[in-house]
Amino acid sequence: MTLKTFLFNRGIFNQIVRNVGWVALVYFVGLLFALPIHIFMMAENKNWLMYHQTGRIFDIGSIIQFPLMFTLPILLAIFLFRYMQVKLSVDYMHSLPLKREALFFQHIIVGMVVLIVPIAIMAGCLILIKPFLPISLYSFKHVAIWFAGTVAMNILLFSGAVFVGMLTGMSVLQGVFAYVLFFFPAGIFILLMFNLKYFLYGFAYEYYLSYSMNEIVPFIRSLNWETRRIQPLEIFIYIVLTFIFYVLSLWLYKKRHVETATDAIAFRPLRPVFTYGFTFCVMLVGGAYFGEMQQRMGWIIFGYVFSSLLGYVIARMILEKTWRVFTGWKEYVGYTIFIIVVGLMFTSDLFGYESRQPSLDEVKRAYFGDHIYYFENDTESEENAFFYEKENIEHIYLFHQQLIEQRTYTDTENDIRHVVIGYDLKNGDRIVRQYTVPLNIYNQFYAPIFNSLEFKKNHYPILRTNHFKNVLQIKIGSEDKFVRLQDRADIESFLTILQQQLLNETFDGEIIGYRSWGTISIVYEKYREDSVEWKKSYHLIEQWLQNRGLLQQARVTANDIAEVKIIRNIKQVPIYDWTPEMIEREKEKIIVHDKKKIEQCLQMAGGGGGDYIVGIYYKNGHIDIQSFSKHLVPPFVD
Amino acid sequence: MIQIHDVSKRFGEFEAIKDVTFFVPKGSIYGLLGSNGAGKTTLMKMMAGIYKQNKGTITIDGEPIFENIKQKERMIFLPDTLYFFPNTTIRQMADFYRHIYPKWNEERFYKMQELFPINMNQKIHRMSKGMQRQVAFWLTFSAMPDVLILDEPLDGLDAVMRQKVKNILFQDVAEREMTVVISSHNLFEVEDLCDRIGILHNGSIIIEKELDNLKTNIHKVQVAFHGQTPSSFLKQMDVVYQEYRGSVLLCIVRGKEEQIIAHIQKHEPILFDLLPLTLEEIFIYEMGEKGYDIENILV
Repeated sequence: MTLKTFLFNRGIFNQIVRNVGWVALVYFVGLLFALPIHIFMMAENKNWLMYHQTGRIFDIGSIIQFPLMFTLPILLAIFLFRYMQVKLSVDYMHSLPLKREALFFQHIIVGMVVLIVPIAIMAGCLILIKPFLPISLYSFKHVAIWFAGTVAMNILLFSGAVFVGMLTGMSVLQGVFAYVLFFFPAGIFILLMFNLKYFLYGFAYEYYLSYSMNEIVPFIRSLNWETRRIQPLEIFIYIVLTFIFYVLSLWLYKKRHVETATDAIAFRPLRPVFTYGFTFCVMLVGGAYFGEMQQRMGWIIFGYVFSSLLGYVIARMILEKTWRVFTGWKEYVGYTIFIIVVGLMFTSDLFGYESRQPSLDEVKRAYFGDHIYYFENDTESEENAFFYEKENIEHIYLFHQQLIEQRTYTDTENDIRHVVIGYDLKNGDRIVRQYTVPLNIYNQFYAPIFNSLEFKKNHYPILRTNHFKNVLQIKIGSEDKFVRLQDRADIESFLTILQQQLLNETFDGEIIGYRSWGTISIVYEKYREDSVEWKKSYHLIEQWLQNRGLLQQARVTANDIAEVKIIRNIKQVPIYDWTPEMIEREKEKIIVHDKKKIEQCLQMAGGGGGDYIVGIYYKNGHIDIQSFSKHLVPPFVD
Repeated sequence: MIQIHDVSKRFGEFEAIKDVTFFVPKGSIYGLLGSNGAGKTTLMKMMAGIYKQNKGTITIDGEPIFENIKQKERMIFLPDTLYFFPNTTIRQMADFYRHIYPKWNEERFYKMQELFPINMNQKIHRMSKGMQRQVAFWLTFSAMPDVLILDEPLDGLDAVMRQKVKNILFQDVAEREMTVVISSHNLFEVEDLCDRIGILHNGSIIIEKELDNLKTNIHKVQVAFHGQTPSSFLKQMDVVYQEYRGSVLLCIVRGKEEQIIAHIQKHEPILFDLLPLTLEEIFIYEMGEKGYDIENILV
């Protein structure tokens, strides 16, 4: 028997085509609407056409193209292999003198032809209509890319759906599992990261989450094909995956027992894998849900218990195809014990993750920041948060050590700071941790780092330059009141003072943004802009503006204010909950009219947690509510 | 020749077939009897290469049947519930069979139209159960199988059609030495058809008989003696069953007819009758001997 007759049988081939040929028709008609007809509709309106002129074929009629691409291959796989999931047909097909290889290859070959033919015809149509369009909408290369991408995605989804079809004996589950298959890798990763952060103190989940996980979900990736062009490597990966799916499918098919049609899971050994896997995933979803909603360990544990129970019951319902699953709790108890052990291993830091610190000699550079972004995106031009100087590395190291030893859980505290500490080691390894730290502990360690020249140079790009020739203008102030410096001499002079101010600055426990007059934004050539917080403590700046008579223009002064009302914030109500009416209702309050005192109030008022609430009543009727912290209160109050 | 040796099949925890061994000689008709759930269908699906046994071997002409194209091309399995491709006509199914079974006989297919008076271009799905079964036989006989496995094949056929099908079966067995395995829960249905019968109960073959010498080898005897039955009388016979009805002794005896008659005459009974047994009676007694109650095994 030759290979041809061995793998090809005209009878079965005709039957398959008769069975699923319509899918090709549907796809063709769908694409006809999505592309040529749509293009002719667009051709009626020049602006519409211009919008697509960059050869974005995926964007044309995308509302039809993508849904077809995401559903038809999977539906097709279900229809083609439907014969395996129905008792009568599975017996019949396997009583025929056809090897499983022959059945399999003929089904997938017809399947791929059914998918590829309409796409190929459509690519031909696109090339045919090209000369008749008023503008050059796309090139041959664009059509080729469109063809390659569409075919690769279709075939990948089709092969994946075929693969899961071998694992299950139910067509419905085949459809569900097909989508799960492609979302699973990204989904489980994100869920694990979310859940690990509850158990691993210092776990830098944002670092891992920022890997663009959605890029590995083909559905999401393909929607971005126009903004980030599909690469040849991607197509290659899709083809390799398709191949792997086919090989696995055939292998499973040969192992599969015919009688498992209508079983939820066709392979017995996989049933516990399904039960526990499903339970685990639902548990992680529940944990993440309650964790994110309530941020408390009690709720997280509740989430785990509740959702693992739910997951277990649902998994058993699917396997046994009945909702009456009241027996068989032994496995759940086993699962629970296993999870508790794993949980304890993580919380007791068995793997030494939480206490891990490299030795100081190994550290090439250390990262210190309030978010993860610059740890991954190490760009020179913007803010840079890496420290190379030994002294600073030591400061960061000590801070880290302190955080490890103290292990402050801070759900109850109001004033917290996010801290990201990272190390780039000499051997190329990276270690990164993320913490929430109460303000008082933070300040203590933050001060020496902040006061270092390296930090300031990292933090303020303006300190990294000595010539200001490419500065076009400087805007000092807020939305309402500001000064614009455009004169070269003014710009040079101001920036020199600003540099001096920033270098002189010492950390005073003040959190950025709490007490500021506004921002200083420096506009460079080529639309580059750099801004620095204009803190109220920047006396050199204040002096400079005063000397030039610009202060009144640049910021709010006592002249703008009618009166200031000060009350004690006895109940420590957060500042953003205060309204002018609440201030009026307070019986005991200090009302200030004296200009000097008003100026003092303006200098000291800020937006942080306040022991005193300060109502600032502008002459123009505007009311601003700020606060004094107890460390910084005008002498006439109290 | 179909050879089944020590075959077992499990579905999860449930053992449907346990250590079954038997063989079907070429050109014979084997009847597989058993009640619902006895394992007939499972066993036949294994013989047809659909299910794979967990243990043992199933060979046709010495070759394992599972995934064996060469053997499967010579074999057709007709299940108790029929399957046809959706929306196909008889003609389309015939074309399919022609591509699938190398020995397909187009001439025979057309000839058989006389036996099966159904329009070839009719859609099979629109037909009644009985007509569908006729179509199945029509296609099956046209494919000229050497081995035919029929699971409860006569259900749903009227008496005339039954006889037609049986006739073709006999004819093919006689002319082409076709080997047939036929299952039924009804003994009468296959009594006149089979050369050999096996009874399957709870997944095991509990009894297997050649029908031809079955009837000649077992006899019902009614005897009465003056006074007591001579003690040597029963001892020298292979008695399967005995009971007294008044002074008359009724027993089922194995052995050659002449020998039994000679033996009994020797004891000078006052009453003696040698009666033939129906097939059902034979099984009742044979199985009673093995501790089974036929009521539970065959309906």
